[in-house]
Amino acid sequence: MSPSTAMPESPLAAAPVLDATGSEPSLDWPDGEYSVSVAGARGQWQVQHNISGADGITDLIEAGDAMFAAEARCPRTLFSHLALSQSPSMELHFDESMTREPVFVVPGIVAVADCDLSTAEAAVIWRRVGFTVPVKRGMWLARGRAVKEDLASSLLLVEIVDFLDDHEMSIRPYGDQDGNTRLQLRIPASQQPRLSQEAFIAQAWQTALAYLPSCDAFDLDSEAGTSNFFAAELEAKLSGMALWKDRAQWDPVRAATRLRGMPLPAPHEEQT
Amino acid sequence: MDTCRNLPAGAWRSYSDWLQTVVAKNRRTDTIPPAERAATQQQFLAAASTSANALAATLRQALNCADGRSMEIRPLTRPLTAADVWSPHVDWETMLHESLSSPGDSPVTTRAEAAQVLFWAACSVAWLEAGSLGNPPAGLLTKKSSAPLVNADPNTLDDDERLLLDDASRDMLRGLGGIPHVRSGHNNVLLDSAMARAWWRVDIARQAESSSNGELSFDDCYAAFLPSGCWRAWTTTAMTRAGRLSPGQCAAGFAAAITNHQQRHSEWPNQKQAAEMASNIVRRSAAYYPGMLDYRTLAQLA
Repeated sequence: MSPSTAMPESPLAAAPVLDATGSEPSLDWPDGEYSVSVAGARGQWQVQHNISGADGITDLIEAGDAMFAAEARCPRTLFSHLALSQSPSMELHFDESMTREPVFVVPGIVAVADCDLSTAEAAVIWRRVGFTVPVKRGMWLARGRAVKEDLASSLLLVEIVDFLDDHEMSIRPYGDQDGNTRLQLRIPASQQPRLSQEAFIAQAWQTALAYLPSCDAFDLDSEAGTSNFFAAELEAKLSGMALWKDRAQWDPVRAATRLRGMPLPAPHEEQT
Repeated sequence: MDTCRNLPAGAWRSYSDWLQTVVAKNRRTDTIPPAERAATQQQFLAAASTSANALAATLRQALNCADGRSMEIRPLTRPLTAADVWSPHVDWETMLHESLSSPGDSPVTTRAEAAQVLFWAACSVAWLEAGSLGNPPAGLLTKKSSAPLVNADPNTLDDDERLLLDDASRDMLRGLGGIPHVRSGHNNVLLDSAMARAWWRVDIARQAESSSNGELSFDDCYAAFLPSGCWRAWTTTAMTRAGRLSPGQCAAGFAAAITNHQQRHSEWPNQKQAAEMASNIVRRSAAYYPGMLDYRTLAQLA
């Protein structure tokens, strides 16, 4: 078991997976399709699975050997909870007090018993004698992309302060207890009603992102990569764009509107 | 979360600002003048060298709760000593876990709380005021003696003296819960603070024991997480990788693999070996929900 000894043969056999996590369609099930929608927050999630073209998997679900699943995971507290359902429409509930952000919801279809999976419709490499492969309990037969709380709701914090004049606002980096840095928009109480205005929020995002090039905590040039969760998340969300480390090319307005689109005016507003 | 237990709203912001006045993220790029930084550190170290109550008062000020309110933290069933803190041991680490987790007047500690720097700062205040962390507490929080420098004129300190003050301050702040602006990441609390490390180690060893259906004893699981390299490897791997090692079976599998290594080689794996074992479990079980696998299967994957 140690790195200094010979590696043992894996005790876990492989089986075809209907994988919806990558950009390519699953190669194991050429005609199979799996999609999943996940909605919710704060320990209450609704998960809708859709599967077609992979009768081997749906047969196992009907036989009770596989189930639709959604796992809630919190790396911060090492919390894991798996919800199982025979129905493609399911709910995932867990005690929010057991978690601290980020919480991941990982959907899929999982084998709940050791069984044989029919591979008659699977890719040719899986069509063995008898057209079945053994599947071990716990194996993901279909996998959806992990979902976590939307970055846009947590990168920018708002604080009401009493030291600013009515017309003033301020922004500063805000380090949390994990050592991650967010941005904190500080506004006077008189501006608080504007927090319900989408245009105000969009403008706040543009201003906040314009601040990134001068914020050390969002430095992307470190050899080891950034250790700031929010900087890494932002980098991933804005892939394809010039980032803030390139001051000349950094476009905070475009970045803000990619993260959170600027609302279009309603028709009656356009006329005025 | 900006607060916890009975601390006021905004306690984290206040405490975080204070932490940054005591130590810089990086000594070389510190923008605060050296004499000013040293003076702040002298003040902090002087409180810790004077008495438990003096340090508790400093922390209360930093937490913005100098009003004497209760921290709502359960007392320890026996005081900790410097020997305890510098030599992790099942006796006192279990005592600390049981003190925080047994029924009583204050809420039972959850992992969500125990993952917060603020929670351990609140524990520090409560236990300092109860006389459970030594009096004065300085020797329990750092091995570096800075006593001769605490009353010196900060303008006359040389670089080595300022370095000693800085090292001692960092040690103490780590012991009180951690310095997230210096060490970031999900596992910073579990590595920085001896008290937090004790609680988490016992909690994870208990989870591993129960996930092995009683085949692994608590003592065996605890022993596997005790070597600092194994603990660091486990927390670093488990608290990254999107939490894939969260199910208790993974902790049990890792403990079994560590124990097996120790039995075969008559020594605990070093940090690199332990990290490789944890990574192997993540990688080789990727096609599975590990919570449905037997811990022995996961141990074989290591």
